[in-house]
Amino acid sequence: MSNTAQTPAVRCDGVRLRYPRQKEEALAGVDLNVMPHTICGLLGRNAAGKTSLMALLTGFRRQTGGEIEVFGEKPYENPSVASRVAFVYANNNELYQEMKVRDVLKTAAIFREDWNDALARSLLNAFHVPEKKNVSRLSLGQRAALFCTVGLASRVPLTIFDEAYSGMDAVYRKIFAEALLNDFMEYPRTILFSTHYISEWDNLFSDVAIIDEGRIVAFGETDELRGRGAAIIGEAGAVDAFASGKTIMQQRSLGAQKEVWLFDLPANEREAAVRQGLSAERLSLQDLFVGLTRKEGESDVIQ
Amino acid sequence: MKSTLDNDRPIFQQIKEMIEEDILSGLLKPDEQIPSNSRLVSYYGINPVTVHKGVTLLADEGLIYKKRGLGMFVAPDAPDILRKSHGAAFQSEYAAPLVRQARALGMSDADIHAHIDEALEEVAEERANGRPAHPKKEEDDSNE
Repeated sequence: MSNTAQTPAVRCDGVRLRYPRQKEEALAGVDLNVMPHTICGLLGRNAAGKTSLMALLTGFRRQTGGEIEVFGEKPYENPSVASRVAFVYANNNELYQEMKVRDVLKTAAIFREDWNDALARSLLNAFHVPEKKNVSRLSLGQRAALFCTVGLASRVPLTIFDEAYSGMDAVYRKIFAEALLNDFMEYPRTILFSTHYISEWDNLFSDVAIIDEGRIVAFGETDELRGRGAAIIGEAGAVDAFASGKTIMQQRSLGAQKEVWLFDLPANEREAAVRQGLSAERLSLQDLFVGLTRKEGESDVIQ
Repeated sequence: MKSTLDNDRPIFQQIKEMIEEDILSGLLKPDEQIPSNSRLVSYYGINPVTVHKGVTLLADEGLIYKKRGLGMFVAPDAPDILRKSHGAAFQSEYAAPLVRQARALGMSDADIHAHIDEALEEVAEERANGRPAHPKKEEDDSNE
């Protein structure tokens, strides 16, 4: 499973995007390589640039700066890329409103050469989505289930899920996660997956990219990235002394106790903290994400 | 095997440690097959790369071996290797934290010894009541 010699499935080099008549850039220099046959989580706050980036990869839009390659080709209005990329998002049903579920499947089967009809039907069965119903008459969760099913069963080399499960209940999401992993093992492909429910999905990802204000602020193997966040807890003076000069993401106090969240604390520093009688804990990916992307003004709202 | 994974260590390491614990407890016996990677992926809902990493580490340490086309099996000397390595870690991982906690509670040396004696009795009683001392010598009634 070594990826070192492979060319990336997705390569972004200083990618910029400015929408017409917008002052701020939606993407302000994105550098990101996604290797083939990985499930990469793309985490970002609202308006961080996730959907903009995904739309560029799909070829829906053209970047205003930098370079993008998907399987070595420029994606914008490129049919050869379009046939190998699927973009699944929560509200992509306008096109299909007047179609029956079974016609959505038929259409997908025509356009996707590796379409797996058995997988699609068994998943829709598990989701209780009736094939003869109109898409417009499905519930929100059923609609999401339908489009996630189509995304999986299309078995395209790059599948992009953008908050695609929105509206699904916990059982639906569990079914979707299991199906995604199982079909990924059976038919490896590259998956880019954005989510706000980090602690629910993080173990599915081999790699994670955190995007904030139009830039990738952290990227790595999921386990490795988690290890880059540390919570140092102890007596306030000792914690302050230890944290001085290090990258502090967040801090808070409780009486004489203080807790700071540090980023990129080397392992030997962590051990040093423990030897000084401080407690050093790993952060969850969700906490690391909050630490990296929470803004100044959002820190003391409740005080 | 635990039912869920926690956050305090890398996931691949937890996968590795769970299999080690099952070997130590006798749930997985020498020359017995360990769950396949895809079973572990489905069971825990984690990425195949993560599982692969944990299983590869076990193989690197000689705790499991590969039978081509069949899967991974527990090495004959795996329990011995683990008892040695876990024995070495017992001091730092269990004994020292125990003493530190006891001191934080203001216990004397005698208090600590008394607690350990009590624990020894408790465990002896459990074993007398049928809990297996060495599960590997008991009948295998694992359900997975």
